[in-house]
Amino acid sequence: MEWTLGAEGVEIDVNIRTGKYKIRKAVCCIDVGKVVNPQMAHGQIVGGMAMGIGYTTMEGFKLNSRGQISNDTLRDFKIMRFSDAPQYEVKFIETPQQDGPFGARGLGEQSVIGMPGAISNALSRAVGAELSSIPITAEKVWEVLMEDKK
Amino acid sequence: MIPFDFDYYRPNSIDEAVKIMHALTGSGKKAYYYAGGTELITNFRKGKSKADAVIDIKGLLELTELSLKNDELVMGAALSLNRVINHGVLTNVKNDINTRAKSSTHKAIKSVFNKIADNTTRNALTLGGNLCGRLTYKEAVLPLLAYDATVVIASQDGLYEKPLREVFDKRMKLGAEELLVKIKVKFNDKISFSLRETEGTETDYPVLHLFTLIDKEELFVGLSGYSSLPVYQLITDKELIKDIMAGKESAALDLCELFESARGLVKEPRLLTENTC
Repeated sequence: MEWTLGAEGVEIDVNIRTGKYKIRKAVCCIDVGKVVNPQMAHGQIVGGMAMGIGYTTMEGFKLNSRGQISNDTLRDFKIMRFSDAPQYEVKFIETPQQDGPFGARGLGEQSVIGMPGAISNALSRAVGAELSSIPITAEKVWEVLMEDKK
Repeated sequence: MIPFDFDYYRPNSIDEAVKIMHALTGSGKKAYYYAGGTELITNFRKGKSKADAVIDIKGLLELTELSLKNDELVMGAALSLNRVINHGVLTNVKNDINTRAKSSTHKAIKSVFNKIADNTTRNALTLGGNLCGRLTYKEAVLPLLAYDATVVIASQDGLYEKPLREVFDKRMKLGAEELLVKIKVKFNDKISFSLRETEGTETDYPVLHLFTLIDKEELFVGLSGYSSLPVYQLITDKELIKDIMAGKESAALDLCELFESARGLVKEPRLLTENTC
């Protein structure tokens, strides 16, 4: 049985006054079996990374004081935009899938998985405190920085 | 989808628009003036708002005016924010006289307008909608108050002008049938500063939008996002202003003290961290 294994990392700039941060670069090295169409495969992986970034950095429900969801439309529920996109770098390792077409495996979902961990680790390292509850908003980073100051 | 039926009116003149509004409200109907619709349509779809009628004012020439007249910028209330930001009237100021004043004023207005919502939304979001809508931030009002803009309002009795500072007190105080037609801003070369902070992304609503405008006579400090509605203060203490302009640390303003009336009004939406709702 062949597994899809990979590793992901990010480079982040953090403003330690406001907690705002920007993901400059996101990288992924992943064993996806035989890459039949490199451009499509790259697109699939980058798409998954983008989903993971959105999930980690900005997607989340907000409740008002009555416990009602106040961001239940795309107007208020923020997802990644083009301007939020980092520079992506993707490398493939090709361990063929024995029973797959031309050695190919399904790919796309896997690149979502590593992003929350990569971003969380990078931010935690940058601010010197654990940030492991997603979405990691600028406000949360700021709160941790203020706690540190105390 | 908007889950209710409503009547749609498209007046050919400001007079007609105001008359239609008067007739509708007089007969107990709920009606709104409609231009960009970014707030109205969203609220209709979400069920937060309902109307018996909308009066489409987009086509009224006076409300889409964008011109330089003498030393004044005139902006129609139905102009989208991007039209104000990008129009050649403002971007091609190099060859005009009083270039520094025009350039400085345009830069100040643009520095605020450019931060509101996102580029796509700003193509539809109108100046009048931002000022008169129900959404509490009304960020576009900050530079307009700072520059002591004049507003032109249409009522049953015709058009009249008033300083914006007399019409705006945390929100626009317009009569039920009145229609904001245009805003006039006199150019000057005062020094401006704009800072916008959000909870997360740049396109989020502000937790703080600070705008200041200063010269030797007056310091304007305006805030949006900090409290439920925009607030501002005018400081005319010349000695204090002199020290601020000289960058003296002792002259730093305590914004909390300055806006004591706004304290306690900060919204604190909770963010579900588990993403399981």
